[in-house]
Amino acid sequence: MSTYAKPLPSFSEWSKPFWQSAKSHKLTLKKCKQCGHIDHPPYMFCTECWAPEHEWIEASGKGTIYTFTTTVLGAPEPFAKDVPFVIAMVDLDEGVRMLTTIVDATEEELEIGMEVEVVFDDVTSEVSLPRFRPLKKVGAAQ
Amino acid sequence: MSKAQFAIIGTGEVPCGRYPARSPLEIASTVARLAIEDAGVKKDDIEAVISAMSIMDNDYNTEVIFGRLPEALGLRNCKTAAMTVSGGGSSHSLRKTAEGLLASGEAEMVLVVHAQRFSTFTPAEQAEYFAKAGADPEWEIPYGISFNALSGMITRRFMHETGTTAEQVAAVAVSCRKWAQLQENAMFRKDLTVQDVLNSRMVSTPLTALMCNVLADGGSAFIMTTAERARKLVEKPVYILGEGSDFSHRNLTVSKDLTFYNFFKNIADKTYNEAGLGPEDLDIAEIYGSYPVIILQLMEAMSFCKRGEAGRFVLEGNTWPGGKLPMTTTGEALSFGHTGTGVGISVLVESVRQLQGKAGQAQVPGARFLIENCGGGCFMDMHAAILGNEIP
Repeated sequence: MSTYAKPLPSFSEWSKPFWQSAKSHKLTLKKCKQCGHIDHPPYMFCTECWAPEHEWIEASGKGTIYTFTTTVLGAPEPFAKDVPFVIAMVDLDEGVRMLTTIVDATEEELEIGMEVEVVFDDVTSEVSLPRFRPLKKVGAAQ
Repeated sequence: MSKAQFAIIGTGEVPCGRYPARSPLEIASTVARLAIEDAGVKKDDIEAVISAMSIMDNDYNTEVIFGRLPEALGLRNCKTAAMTVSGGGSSHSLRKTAEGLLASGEAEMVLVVHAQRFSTFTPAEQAEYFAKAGADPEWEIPYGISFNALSGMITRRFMHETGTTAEQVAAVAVSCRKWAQLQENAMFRKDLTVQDVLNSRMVSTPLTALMCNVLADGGSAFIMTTAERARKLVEKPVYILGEGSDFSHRNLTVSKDLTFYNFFKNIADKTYNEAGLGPEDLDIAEIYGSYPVIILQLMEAMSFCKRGEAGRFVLEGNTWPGGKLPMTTTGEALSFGHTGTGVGISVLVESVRQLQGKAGQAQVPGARFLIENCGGGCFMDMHAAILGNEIP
């Protein structure tokens, strides 16, 4: 088995639950119990009202593409062999935005506003990275 | 803060490009001396030296932090030596630090210095640094983000919302090159067309190589004093007439609007209000965006063009030499060279030269008022200032 040679996310105390859930293929978000604000990225306390009490809610995993780019040149060295790859910002249904890569589609097939859904990439036995792919329409040819 | 409390009275600059044999201390010594001589003051008049941070060069930064500059320059009356940094927005924080020292009476003459050498690092080290400069190690780097990819995403979103075309984006790089051709110290001075820009290699869609920056060695310095003292010392003090600042985010995903329209516009409007001037009063727009899309966004937010119109305005030639709105007369990071925290400082220094009538071939005749701006690496903030050689 080849070792994963790319940078892995460095977790903090308050972001650990996100990555633990991702490992179980669940997309979760840190929501404040006092005011309901969702912080992504998550921080030590709610950035809106400073309350420490929070819960990790499970996100629907669905969102729309806010913008995207296909990197062809100048990717950081560990990713040099992966080009071209598509990086995007996805607006989750829960109202926060995530940076991610789009899989199962080339740039020509993508549009701003297009619906996408999360998939999990088990890059190591410890870490799974959320990525997104276009939502398959019911009845679409496989 | 009352209007026109402070003025810049002298500047210095070295050529920008690849100069591996030229040490940062040599750069700093040269530009500091040029600025002090340009201001017509004596070295022992300097009471504070504030330095920009050098990117990647911890040896030079350490030297600066431990007070190398006042000793190397023989500044016998320097009471404060410090470093101020806020990434690409450093020209703002350096200026504000100088203003603070002047306002408190701690110093009556402040020297601000920037020196940067990238070329002694290997191309791989430089590429590695700049590719992911300021990218988030947890939420962005694991996805292979690069700085050009971030800018590509902003560019695509802006084009989507405003109808700006790739040709118009390319025209910004062309405008910058035309000004760089009038600057002796600029790194890139060959003729450049919109077609050249569009035909250059794709880097991260929709950005081609000639829409992106190249790291460069360079440096500049300026001398700031009170408006009152400036009037006694030089014929054309460059007054700071109005300023505006705001902070947006660390992670780009936290900024609701990647076109930054309201964010930039609120800052620009505040700056205009404080100066008591409008865009129609300005002779030059010294806009620093580092990528064409940010320059276009700033043009619109500064009310030089209606939303969505800046691209066409540039493509029609209005911002390059001879045009009705001279813009970024250094050639910006794109053609002058990207000197890390120094781009904003070089734009500020050029702003001063223009208003002093010392801009040589790039001189905009009779320039009295202009707006300049800077911002930090991941587009996290914006700071604008209106400068003038008169008080309106």
